[in-house]
Amino acid sequence: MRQAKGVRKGRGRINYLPLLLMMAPGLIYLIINNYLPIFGITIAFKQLDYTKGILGSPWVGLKNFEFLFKTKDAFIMIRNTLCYNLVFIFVGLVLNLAIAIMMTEIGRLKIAKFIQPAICFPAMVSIIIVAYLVYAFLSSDGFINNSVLKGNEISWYQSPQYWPVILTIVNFWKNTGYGAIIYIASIAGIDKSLYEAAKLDGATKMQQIFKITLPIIRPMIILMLLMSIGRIFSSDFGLFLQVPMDSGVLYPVTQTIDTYVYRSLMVLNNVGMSSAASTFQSVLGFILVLGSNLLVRKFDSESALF
Amino acid sequence: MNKKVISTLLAAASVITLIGCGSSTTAKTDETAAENSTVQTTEAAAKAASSGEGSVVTFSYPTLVVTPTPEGVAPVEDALNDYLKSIGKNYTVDLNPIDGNNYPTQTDMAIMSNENVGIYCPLAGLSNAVSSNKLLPLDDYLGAELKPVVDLEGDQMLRSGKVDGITYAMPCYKGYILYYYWVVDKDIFDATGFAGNDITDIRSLTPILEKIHEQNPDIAAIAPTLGLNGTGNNYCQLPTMGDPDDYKVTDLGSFLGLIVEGDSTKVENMYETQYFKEACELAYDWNQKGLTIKDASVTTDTPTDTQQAGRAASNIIGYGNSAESVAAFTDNTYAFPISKTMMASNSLVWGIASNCSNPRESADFLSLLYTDEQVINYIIYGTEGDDYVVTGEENGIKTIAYPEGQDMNSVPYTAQLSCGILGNQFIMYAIEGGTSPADISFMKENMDKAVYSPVFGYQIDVTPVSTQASAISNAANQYTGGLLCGELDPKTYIPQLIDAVNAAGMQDVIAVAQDQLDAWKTEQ
Repeated sequence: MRQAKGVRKGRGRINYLPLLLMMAPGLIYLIINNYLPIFGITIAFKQLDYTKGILGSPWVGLKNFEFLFKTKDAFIMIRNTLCYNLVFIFVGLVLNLAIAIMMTEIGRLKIAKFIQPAICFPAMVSIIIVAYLVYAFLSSDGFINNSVLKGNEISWYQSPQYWPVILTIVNFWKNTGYGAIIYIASIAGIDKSLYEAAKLDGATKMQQIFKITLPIIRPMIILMLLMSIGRIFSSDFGLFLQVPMDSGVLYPVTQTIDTYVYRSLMVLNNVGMSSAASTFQSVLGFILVLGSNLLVRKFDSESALF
Repeated sequence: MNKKVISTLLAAASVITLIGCGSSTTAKTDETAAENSTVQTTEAAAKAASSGEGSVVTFSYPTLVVTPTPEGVAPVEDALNDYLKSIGKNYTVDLNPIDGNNYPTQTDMAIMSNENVGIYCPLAGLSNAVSSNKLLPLDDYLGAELKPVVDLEGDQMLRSGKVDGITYAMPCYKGYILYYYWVVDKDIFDATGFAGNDITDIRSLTPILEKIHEQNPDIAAIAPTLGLNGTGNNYCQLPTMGDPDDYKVTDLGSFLGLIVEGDSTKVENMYETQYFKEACELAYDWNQKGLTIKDASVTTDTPTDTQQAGRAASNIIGYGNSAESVAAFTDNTYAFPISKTMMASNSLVWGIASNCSNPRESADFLSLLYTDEQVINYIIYGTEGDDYVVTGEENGIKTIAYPEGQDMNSVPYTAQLSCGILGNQFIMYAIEGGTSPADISFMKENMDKAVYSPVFGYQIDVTPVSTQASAISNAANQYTGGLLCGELDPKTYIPQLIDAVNAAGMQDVIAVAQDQLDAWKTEQ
């Protein structure tokens, strides 16, 4: 008995070796590509001197971060970044789930073969092209002003009040189909016999969705939410810079941390300040992920990430 | 047993894959090295140093639109090095053309990681390059290797390459004086009944534009010029109204709205001046009268395209070329000059990277770019026969063309579009469809008669106030496009703009700029 145990232990150890070896290429890639560059964060705290290199440059503490906060735009850009992202994450979640459920429901119909790829298509379109599509709709001679609003045209690119809605629509048009894919895959993995049993018991479609589908894919939903919360201080640069055509009048509703950094540093070309901005975004995002994971673990320890 | 065999096999397979990965990466690295001439240079330099041959000078220059491949560069490099040997130089040159869009980042990164960049152009600004130690001081070479450049450009021009009294770079020598032309469709202009001499400056365009609008209600009378770096579209009011016969304004650069006016050296907030106000009012007037295209502040079509597409009758554009040449650039147009700029500091200066191992030889080659016709033409146009053919000579300037059936995109090597960026433009050949020999003489004459800005040679260094500078450029970008395109009412929005830039720290930046300027003045 004892001997057998020892053998099993020893064999266990040896058996891990091939697995570890197989992991090695991936691990090496991760270390080189994702971990070594983290050292670059030090640039955010330095006044870069090109002859002394990154390590030799003098430390300047938090001076590089000042430009993010020492302006009255700081409130606007942080507010915009957070509010847009909250809307994108939570409304996006509902839309993604709705589409995923609808897609699986029509999965047997022939037309699904067309609809499923079609709703993913906008995600493949370059944001520059999206910007011009929007421009074709909204410019002074554009489609909307020429048809729907003929007679009382709106100059959209001069009217900030409409843009929170426009940007939200554009974002969902572009990303919803693609965002639904992962849920479609999870739903496809649910055991069909559960639904059959529920039907026999007389469950309605709605009951099937709320009592079977959603509870089963909940871990996936939480995983996706945590991942998007990690990026809550970043924004889709193309959406906020290209789609409003960089129109100055719209800055109060289109300025996000990323566009502000871009606009400031295009002129200054200061490497330290740009790394400060992205360090700020990643550190806060990381804290938020840990924080929300902590909350999830408290209420539902099985769905927590770690 | 079976499992054991399989796992051993898997392990073996993964090890083999790893090795495979390893060797393919090495092979790839070799390829990349071959492509990446900076790396190649370092190796070449090391080789040369060890074998006692002459040293290798690296020349990193930006190319626009087309960047020659390493295969295209090699024969040019060989021909250039043969030529250098024939004139008794003891070094060879490694040509390192870099796509202009990546140039500032790539050269900065290369210097930071101690790769050999050699001679390069700090496009992001000289003062910035000096304050972060990217450039070598050139004072030691001014009396010897660089003497021909000093003689050629003259002390006044060289001020552009100085920071705190030390020379770090040599300005590109070319036709800096720009004329702003009002380019208008011939038929439309003829129909208005106005004559060429009715056009004196930008303000005199208003009645003509009104007439055009009256006669052609379907198209815009004028298209806007696209702003650079998010500074907003405009009708070139700022440069045209800033000319020496008008407000005589020098923009101190960095898109901060800092100017000096007339012959004074007092730094002013441009947004508070009559100059800026009039520029905005003119555009607002045009916009209110319906003379401009709709959505002018957000359009991304170039004015020439808008005009060619028949959506606008005219546009304003700056060129170093003569009116005849500018009119000929687009079909069926007149070009009327409305203003002429003065000499102001510029960032097209060439220095030697601080990590350069052979500054003396580099300085010598830098000098050849200004003085040796052969050298500069190898770099701009490549080798005769393969990359271009000679077609004749005009005004003592050789005229050339691309070989039969070839163009800029298909020849093995050309840096034609870099002609206004490096070296001495006045000793370059004139290529068909580019700057004509007559234009080169025209530009030379303008340079000789140029009016210099009172602060020529001063360049602002915003490093001490970079926080404020970033806030100011953001605050200003919000308004400038709309104001200069006439879409925002100057009465309401200029005061808002002034408040915004002041809140962003305009006073601090002005104080710093004034201190720097005063210090610079005492030095002169």
